[in-house]
This record gives sequence, structure tokens and C-alpha cells, in this order.
Amino acid sequence: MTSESSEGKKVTLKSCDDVEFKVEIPVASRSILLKNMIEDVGETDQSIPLPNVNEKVLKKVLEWCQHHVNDPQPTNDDDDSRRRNTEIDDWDQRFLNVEQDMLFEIILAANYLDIKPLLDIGCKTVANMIKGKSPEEIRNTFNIVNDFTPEEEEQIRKENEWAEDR
Amino acid sequence: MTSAAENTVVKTYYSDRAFPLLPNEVTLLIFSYLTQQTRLKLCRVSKAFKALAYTPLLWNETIIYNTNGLELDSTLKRLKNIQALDARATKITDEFAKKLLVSSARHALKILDLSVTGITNISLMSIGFNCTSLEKLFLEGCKEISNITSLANLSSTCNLTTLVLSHCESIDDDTIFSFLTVTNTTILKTLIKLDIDGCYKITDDGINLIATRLIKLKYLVIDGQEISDYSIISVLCNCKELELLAISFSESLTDMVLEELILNLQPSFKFLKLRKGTSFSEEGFRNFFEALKRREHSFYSLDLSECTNITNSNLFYFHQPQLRWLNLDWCWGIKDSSLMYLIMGCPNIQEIMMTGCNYITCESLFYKIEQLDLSSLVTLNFCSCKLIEPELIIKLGKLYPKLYIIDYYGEVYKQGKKVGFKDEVYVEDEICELEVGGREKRWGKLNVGDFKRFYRFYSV
Repeated sequence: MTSESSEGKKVTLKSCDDVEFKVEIPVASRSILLKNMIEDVGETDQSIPLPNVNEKVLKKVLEWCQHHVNDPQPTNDDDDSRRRNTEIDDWDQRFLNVEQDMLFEIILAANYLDIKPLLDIGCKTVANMIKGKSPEEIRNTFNIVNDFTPEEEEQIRKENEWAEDR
Repeated sequence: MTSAAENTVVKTYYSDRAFPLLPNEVTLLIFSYLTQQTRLKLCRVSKAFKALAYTPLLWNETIIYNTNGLELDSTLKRLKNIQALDARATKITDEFAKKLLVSSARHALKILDLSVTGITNISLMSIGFNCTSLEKLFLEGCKEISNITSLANLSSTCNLTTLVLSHCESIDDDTIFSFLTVTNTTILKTLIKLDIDGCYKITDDGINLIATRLIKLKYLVIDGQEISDYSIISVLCNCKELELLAISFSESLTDMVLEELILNLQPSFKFLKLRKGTSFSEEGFRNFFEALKRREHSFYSLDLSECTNITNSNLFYFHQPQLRWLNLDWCWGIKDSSLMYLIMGCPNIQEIMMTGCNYITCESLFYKIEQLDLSSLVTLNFCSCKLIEPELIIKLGKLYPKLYIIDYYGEVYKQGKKVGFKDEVYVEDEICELEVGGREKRWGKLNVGDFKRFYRFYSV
């Protein structure tokens, strides 16, 4: 495995608020963005700046990468079964049990750094927060303002009657 | 001042975002994990939510539950990438089907379910002329349909594998004849699953034509009324890739069919239903079971309900190591000791249906309980078995805590306690397999006594 041969070798990541993290290459390579960068640049002492991720979030994301360092790389062809399964394993659940803003920031970082499995479980977590809630409860959970007039609400109800399971 | 101005800019810039923090493509990913019913709630949260929840990509698989408020033009916009449409048991009309099928949806549509609707031959013309990717077509119980010839017009890019016409009562030999003699060679090669259960007007001629034309069939369900040995033997001789054969009324079939089953037996043939095979003899079954044992052939599911000549003397030879599901409802000649043979001959059996088998008492199970392995058993159905004593059901249930046992009245016992009536009890933790569209399998979740469980291990 590559993880053994490159063990010990490190790369330096710099968050947007200028905090540096020394990270083992296999851990950083959970991010496809970083993996490609490291492969392109080769060995370097220079730090890689991550202008979209702050220290707090980067630390959290790297914790995830460390824990999942030996997971197999995800494949693209399994889209259907991926979507059917909204289960999240225990460690990940605890890992994502954070403030809502933090959760969204982790999702954003996973999206930017191209860490598909982390993006997936982040999105699943938000999906699970939506499940079983009424529109009003969804608004309350995510602090969203209702910008519909009563007429518009009635209109939406009407145009979706056909799709409603009763 | 500056910061206020910046805030306004940010706010305007993101006003089309559902979650201000997330780009909409990420929010779409979140929405993709949610079912149609939850997405409908999202539509009502805010304008940005609505706009995103209406994205056609999220409506690739859609169920129409009724036709209230179904405005064709606005709905079709949302359904323009639709791959699987389920409009089962709605008031969908030919007009809707036509509009859908001439819209841009026709290119993506792979699965179409218009079962139990009032559509007529006209819709089939729309399907035949417009669909370019259709793979599965479900038209169960569409009583108006009498002519399916237009399906022969389906584009050669279609990979039509599945055609369900069960209980389309107007279908007869002429329907089959005009379909299978006009059809282009593509459908003859691609169609592997055909369900014409309940199409009682189809005779031997229709079945024989199916057997000789659709030789790639893996899955065939027929009604069987007035069908004789001749056409069933033709099916067995021609369709060498058959995995599932189900006949709902087998009264007219004789031991010849059982013999031909053995002669043409392929290893992949795993599902057999010969319901109401009252003309199969006791000896016929004995030879059949013996030959299966000799050939080491085991089915996964067997439905021999109402085959009245299945008795102790032939069940003695019953050896089906891979069998999971067995239906012997109303085979009332079966003695209690058969239950023991069955369990010894089928170490992987999960469900045994024995409705109306009046000699069954369960006592023989206790007589040899140490030597019997019942650990894979999930369901024993003793509905209408008049000698079954509740004490034994309770005792057996306590010995095997996973086991569901149905008593004379149809009440289900688990661990010695009543847990409900058989139509309302579902096997705990049973994984409900999903259809392509992420929806529950066509028959939905199946209760413990449902005869459709015959199909449960079959997947296409």
C-alpha cells in the first residue's frame, strides 16, 4: 500500500487564518484536491495555502481524514446505492454532532477539498435533520424566513396535490 | 458603513440560495437523500427552497398518487428528465400519457407503470412511437388494452426487458399473435420478463407462440386456465434460460409436465409455481421429487399450493437444500410427520405455508426436536389447520424466538405471544429490497403470510 511507503512524509497545510498544520501525506490525500496537488508538485517544503478553510474547520476535517486514512477510495459508479443508504456509522455521527454552522462549514470544506465521503455524510446528516419535519419546523431548525404569501402557499399546495401520498 | 454595504451585497448575491451558507449544488445533494414526500415539504419552506426542490434532477423517479391538481404543462417541466414514473391506480388518461410521451421526458424514461388506470390501446401507440429508452413497462389490470402491436414500433435503442400485462383481461391469442409476429427482432432478444397472469383468454396457441418466439425469457407468469401440457412443455423445451415459471391454475396439466421439467432442468431454474395442480398424481410428484434429489437440483421458492396429491408418501423424497419458501396451502393429505421430513430435507427453509392442512399438529417436531434444526425458519403458517393446538404454538415459539407462527384463526404468534393478524404482521428487520427508483419493491413490504413472498428472492 502507498500509505506505508509514504509514511512519515509530511506536507504542510495553511488555513485562511494563517495556521499551519503538518500532516502525513496519506491523511492529506483523503482530499482529492490535495492528493492531486501533492502529486503535481512533488516533494516540497512550501506550505499549501487553503484560502477557503479556517483553522477550526481544517482541524476538524483533518481529524476525520486521520480516522478514515485506511478507507478504500470511493467509486463513482455506485450512485444509486449511495443514495438509498442514509445510515451513518457511529464514529461519524459523533464526529458530526456539532453546531449547525460548524456542520455547514465542514460540508463546505469537504466540497472544496473534494472529500466525497465526508461531503456525503455531511449532506446525509442535514437530510436526516430535515426528515419528518413540517415546513414550519424546517424553517425553525435552519432559521429560514417564510417569504410566501398565503396565496402562493395555496398555489404550491394545489400544484403538488398529485404527488401527495394519502 | 462599509461592512453594512458588504452585507447587503452578500445577501443579494445569495438570495437564491436555500441555505445561505451552502452553494445550491451542495443543497441539491442534500435534497437527493430525501423522498418525494419530504421534498414536497421543502417546496413550502421558502421561495429558494421551492425553486431548488423543483429541479428536474430530483424528480427522476416520481410517483403520481392521484390526478388532483395535475397540470400537465407545469408538471411536465419538472418531469422532463424523468426515468421512472409510477402512476399506478390513478385517473391518468390517454391524453396525459400522450403529452408525457411526446415531451422531452420520452428520452429518459426507463420505467413506466400505468397499472390499474383507464388507459387504452392509444397510450400504447404513444409509447411505441415515442420512447427511446424504455426498459420496463407495467400495465397490470388495464382492462381496455387489447392490442399491444404498437410496442413493436419501439425504438431499437430501447432495451425493453420487462412487460407486465397481468389481469389485462382483454388480451387474447390475437393480441399475442399480432405482437409477436410483427415485432422487430430487438424486443424478441431483450424481453426476458413477461407477466400475463390473469389473462385467461390466452390459450395454448398463445403460450406456444410465446415459447417459440421469446426464447430468452427468464421470467414467465401465466394464468393457466385451459392451458394444457402441450404449450407448457413447449415453454420448457424452448425457453432454456427460464429462472421463474409461475402458473396460477394448473388443473389441466398432467404428470407429463413434471417429467418434462426434469428433462429440461437448467441449474438457473429456481422459482416454480404450479398452483392448483390437481391432476398431478401422487406417483408423479414422487418421481419428480426423487429426480430433483438425484439431480441435486434445488429451487429457492416452490408454490405447490392446492396440489392435492402431495402426500406423506412423496414428501418423504423431498430434498431441497436451497429452498427458502414453500407453499403447500390446501394440500390437505399431508400428515404431521411430513413437517419433519420437510425440515430435514430443506435445511435453509425460511417459510412454510400450510393453510388448511388438517392433519398437521406439530407434535412430530417435538418428538425429534433435538435432531431438528429450525434455526433458519422464520414463518410457519398453520392457518385453518384445525388440529393445531395453541399450547404447541406457544411452546415452539418460546424455543425459537425468531419464529412467526400463524394459528388456525390467522393470528400470528411470536415467542409464545400474539402479535397481530397475519395481514398486518411484518417480519422484523426484514430488508425491503428497493426497485431501481429507490422506492419499495413493486409489491411493497410483504406481510408474513403473503403468497407474493414467492417472488421475494427473485431480483432482475
